[in-house]
Amino acid sequence: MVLILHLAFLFIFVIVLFYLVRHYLFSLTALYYRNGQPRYTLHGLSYRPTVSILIPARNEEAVLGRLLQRITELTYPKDKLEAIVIDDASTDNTAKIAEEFSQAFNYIHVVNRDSHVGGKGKSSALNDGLMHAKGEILICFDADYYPQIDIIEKLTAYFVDPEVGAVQGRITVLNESTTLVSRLVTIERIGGYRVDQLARDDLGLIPQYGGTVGGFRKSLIEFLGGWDTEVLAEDTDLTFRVYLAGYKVRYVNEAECYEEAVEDWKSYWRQRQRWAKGHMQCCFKHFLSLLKSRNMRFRERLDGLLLLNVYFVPILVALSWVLGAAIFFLWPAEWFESIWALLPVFVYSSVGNFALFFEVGIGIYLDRRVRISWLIPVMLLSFVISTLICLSAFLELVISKFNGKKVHSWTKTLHNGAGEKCL
Amino acid sequence: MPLDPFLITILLIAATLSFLVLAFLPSIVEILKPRDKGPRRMLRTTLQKRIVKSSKQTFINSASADTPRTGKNLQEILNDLGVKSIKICNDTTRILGDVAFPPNLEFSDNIIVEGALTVGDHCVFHGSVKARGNVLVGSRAVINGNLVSRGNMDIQDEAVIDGSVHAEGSVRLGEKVSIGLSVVAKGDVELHENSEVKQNIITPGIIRVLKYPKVDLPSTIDDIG
Repeated sequence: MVLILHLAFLFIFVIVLFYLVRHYLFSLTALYYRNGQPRYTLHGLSYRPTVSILIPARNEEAVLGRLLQRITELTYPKDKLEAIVIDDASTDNTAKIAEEFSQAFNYIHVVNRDSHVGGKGKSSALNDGLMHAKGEILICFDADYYPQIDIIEKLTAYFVDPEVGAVQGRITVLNESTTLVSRLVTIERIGGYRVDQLARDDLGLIPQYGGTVGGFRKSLIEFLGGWDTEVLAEDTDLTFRVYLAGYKVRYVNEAECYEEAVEDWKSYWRQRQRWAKGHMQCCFKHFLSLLKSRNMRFRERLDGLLLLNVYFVPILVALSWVLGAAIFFLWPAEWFESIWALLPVFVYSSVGNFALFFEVGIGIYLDRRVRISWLIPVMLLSFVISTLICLSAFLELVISKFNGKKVHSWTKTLHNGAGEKCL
Repeated sequence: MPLDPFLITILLIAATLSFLVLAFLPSIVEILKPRDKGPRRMLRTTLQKRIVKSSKQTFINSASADTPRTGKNLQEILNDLGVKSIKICNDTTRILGDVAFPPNLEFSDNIIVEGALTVGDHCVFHGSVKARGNVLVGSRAVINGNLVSRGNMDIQDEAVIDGSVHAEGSVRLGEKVSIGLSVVAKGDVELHENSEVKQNIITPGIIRVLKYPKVDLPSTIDDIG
C-alpha cells in the first residue's frame, strides 16, 4: 500500500516537473527569442482577403454599441468587410442596437435567433453566423470587446501562409482598476498572452485559439463541420481540430483588443468552471486522436497533451495533498521517510508556482509595468480557488457520466459596460 | 538548557506569520493604495507604412491560359510522380517530401509541400502554395494565390504570382515577373528592372535591381542553394 502511494506521488512529481519546465521555457523564450512576427505584420499592408466578423450577442445592450461603433472605425477596406451580429434571443435592447447600426452601415448585418433556437450557447450562435458569412476569413469578437482599428489587417496577414488555419490576437483587460478580481485576471492575461501564447508561437508549439479576437479560414471551419455545440470550451476544441486536420494556429501579439474582465469571485468561479469543464471535455475527446495524429509533429503532440491536461494539474495537486496527509497519519513511524512523497506538493507549491509567477512577472516586465507586479503573491489565492474550481468541474463531469444528465449548460458572463470609463 | 516547547511553538507561528506578512506586504500596499490602476495603454494602430521599394514598371504578362494541360487531377499527378500526399481540407493538399511538377499542369488546390518545390513552366495553380524548402517557379507559370517558402525562392521569367511572396531566405525574380501584392523576404531580393511588384518589397537584406544583359538564372532546384 505504501509502495502504491509512493509510486502515485512519483507519478504526480514527474507530471508537475513537466509543467514546471514548460513554464520556465516559455518565460525565457518570451524574454530572449522572437521569431519574425513584425515582418508578418508588415505583410498585412497588402494582403486583403474578404473578412466576416462574427459577433454573438445575448443581452449585451451595455457593451454592443461600443463594439459596433469601433467596427465602423476599422481601417480595413469596408468593401472587403462585413460584420454579422448574431442576436441570440436577447430580451434587452441588443437587437435594437444592432438593427440601428445595420441600417446606418451597409456592411453590418443582424441575424436574429428567437427563443426556440436561441440561448443554446455561443457555439450554436456562431454556427448560425457561419451560414450567413460570405468572407474567406471569419473573425470572432465577443460583444464586450474593443479592438485596435488595424486589428483585421494584422490578423489576416498570417493567412498568406496556406498552412495557417487560425489566428489569435492578444487580449488586454479594460476594466482593470475596478476590483481585485479584475486586477488578478489582468495579470493572468498578461502571463497567458504576452508570455505563454507568444512563446508557444515562437517555439512552433500550439498557440491556442481563445474563442474571440481570432479568426479562421471559412473553408476550414466548414470542412470541420462548424463549432461543436456539445463542448463548453469551443475554442480549445477548435484549436485541436485545426491541428488534427493538419493546419496551424498563429498568435499575433501586436493585434490587441480590450475585454471586460469579470469583477467578482462568483462570476470568476462560474467562468473558470465553464472553461475547466470544457477543457476536460476536450481532453476526453481529443486525447487519443492527438497521440495517433500523423499531421502533427512530436513537439506539437507533446505540447498538445500538456495543454489538454492543464486543468487536471490542480486536481493532481489536491490529490497529492490528500495522499500526503494519509501517509503522514496512517504511517506515523515512517513519517520522515514519507516526507519525500510530499515532494510534488512542495515542488509545485514553491518552484512550480514560482514558474507561473515568473511567467507573469516576465510579461509585466515586457509590458513595461512595475507596480502591478506587487500583486503577484495574491495569485496564490487564485491558485487555491482554481484547484477547487477544477475539482468541482471534474466531479460534475464524472457524475454526469454516471447519471446521464447533461452538464453542458452555458452560463453566460454578464457585462455591465464598466470598462467604458477606462477608455 | 532545553527550550520550552510552548515557546518554540510560539516562535514557529510568529516566524510563519512574519514570512506571510513579508511576502504579501507589497500586495497589501498595492491593493490599499494602487499606483498602477491600468489599463495598459493600447495603441490605436501599430501598422507602419514602411515602403522599401516599389517598382512601377508595367507590362502585360504573356503567360498563356490556353497552354495544353494534361487533364489529370492533382492526386493522379502526384501518384504518377510517386509522391505521398494527404488531402487535409476540401481545398488543400499536403505533399510529404520534395516534389517537381512537370510543365503545363493546372490545379485548383492550395498546396503545402514538406520539402523543396519545383513548379514546371506554364503551370497554373489557382490556390496558394507553401514549401518548407527552396522553391523554383518555372517560366510563365501562374499562381493565383500567395507563395510562401521557408527557404530561398527563384521565380523565373514571365511567371505571375497574383498574391504575396514570402520567403525566409532570398528571392530572385526573373525578367517580366509580376507579383500582384508584396514581396517579403528575410534574405536579399534580386529582381530584373522589367519585373513588377505591385505593392511593397520588404526585406532587411539588400535589394538588387538587375539590368540587361540578362543574367543566367538557375535551371534546377539544386542550383538555388
